[in-house]
Amino acid sequence: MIEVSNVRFSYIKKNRSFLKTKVEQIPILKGVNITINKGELFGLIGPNGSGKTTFTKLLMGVYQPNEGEIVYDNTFSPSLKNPKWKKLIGWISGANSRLFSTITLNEHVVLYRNLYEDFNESWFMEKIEEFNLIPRLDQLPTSISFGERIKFEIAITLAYFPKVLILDEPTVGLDPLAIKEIRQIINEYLSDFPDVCGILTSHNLNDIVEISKQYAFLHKNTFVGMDQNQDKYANDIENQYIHLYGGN
Amino acid sequence: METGKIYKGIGLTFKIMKDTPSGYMHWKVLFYYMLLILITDCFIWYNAGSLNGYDWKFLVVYSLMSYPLWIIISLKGLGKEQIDLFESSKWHAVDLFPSGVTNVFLIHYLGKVYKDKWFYCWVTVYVFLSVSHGYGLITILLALLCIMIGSCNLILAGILTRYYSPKGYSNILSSMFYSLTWIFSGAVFPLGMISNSFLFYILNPFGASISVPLSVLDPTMVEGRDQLILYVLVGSIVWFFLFFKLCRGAENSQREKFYS
Repeated sequence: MIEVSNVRFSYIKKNRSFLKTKVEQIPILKGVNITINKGELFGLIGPNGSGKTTFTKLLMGVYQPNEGEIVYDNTFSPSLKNPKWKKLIGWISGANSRLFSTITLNEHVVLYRNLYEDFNESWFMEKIEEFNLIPRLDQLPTSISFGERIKFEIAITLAYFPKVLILDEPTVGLDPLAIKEIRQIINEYLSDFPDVCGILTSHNLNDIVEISKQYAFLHKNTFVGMDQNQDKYANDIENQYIHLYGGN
Repeated sequence: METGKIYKGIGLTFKIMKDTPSGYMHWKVLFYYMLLILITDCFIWYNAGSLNGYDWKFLVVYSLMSYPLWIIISLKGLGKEQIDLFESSKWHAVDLFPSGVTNVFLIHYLGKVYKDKWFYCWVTVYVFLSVSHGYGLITILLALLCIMIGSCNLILAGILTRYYSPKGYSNILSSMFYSLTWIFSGAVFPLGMISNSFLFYILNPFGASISVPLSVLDPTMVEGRDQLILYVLVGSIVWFFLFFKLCRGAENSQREKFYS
């Protein structure tokens, strides 16, 4: 479970003067309060530049909140200085690849196998077979398609069984069939591992409907319209979206 | 072994390199640089009025062997993708690995170097030349170990330079760092030309990568070579642990710089 209490965050601008003063910029997030329960992904919706990725980075411990706190399992706050916490995170981003461009996909498997002790190679190979990626394993990430890259990243990330999933627009730019496969593998993962929780940001509202159990909009630097997903359709959320942002 | 055969072996290596496409090691660039090194060495020799005890044949072999090795062990390290990560706010992509950034880069780097066909090609020629000079297996293995530790030092010092460079200046400082390692590793000329002192080699963390292993091919330096290799190896291992500790420290203390 992740508890976010009254979080406020703004980027710091460092003055390159002799005194090197730090100036806090306009807050990206303020008064954010959510609880992400085990077994669910929290859906976060918002226009480009609203702070969705910044919030995912706060959850991962890349940034620390200026005010408030984020607590995982009532035990500790996320920080990248904590290697145990890093092992729990599974980060997949449609926009930013985590793969090294100069080593093959197979070599990535070797790297992950050595970095994550829980890495399950047979589970991984099963998923790779489902995604028809076996012929691609000897290739470099730069020589496979965008969709194949995302599928490979999802398989290799889930193969070390992360407890906190951070999915930052994972289906962006994918064809409908690939989107369906990705939703399926994530849902299967969530049902197989009920102690997993995390966040999903997406502009594809069907992702939110099909993967997350509750969602919220990021509007004017805070979370609004928090709601449960039960019996909701993408059209309902789209209407809420238009109602919220259309007037701006 | 006849000198002609040695040059024939090196020539064959060049032929293989020329015929095989490679993204980073363009054979023409390689050839021009080795020519440059040869001319530089000759220029130093001409100005000094002698070869400082070096045989001219050794200088030719050194020029042919040093730069390809430097290319393999240095450019593969802090390569383009690391610079991209440093510069494009994607640092967390690698910072999320539980082992830490330094370990990942080191494993990644060693993996890249030691799976490289050019490295094996180079090692084959090196072993061939060393055996032809009458060296035993242990000396050759120690010299190869020197290359490995020396190249780790290169990558670790490179990471440190990146970590401690002021934002916006990391590219220029990194270039300066590479120019320095070019000289201190002995990629351009045998370090023995400027100093024959053991202490100089031991205090230089990068000498183990090129200059010292290639000293095996120097027929004029016979006495104390095994000792030199051993001392430099021990010295560079100490440097390795020092760099590693500094990098791990910098990883935590400097990481926010890449996120702000």
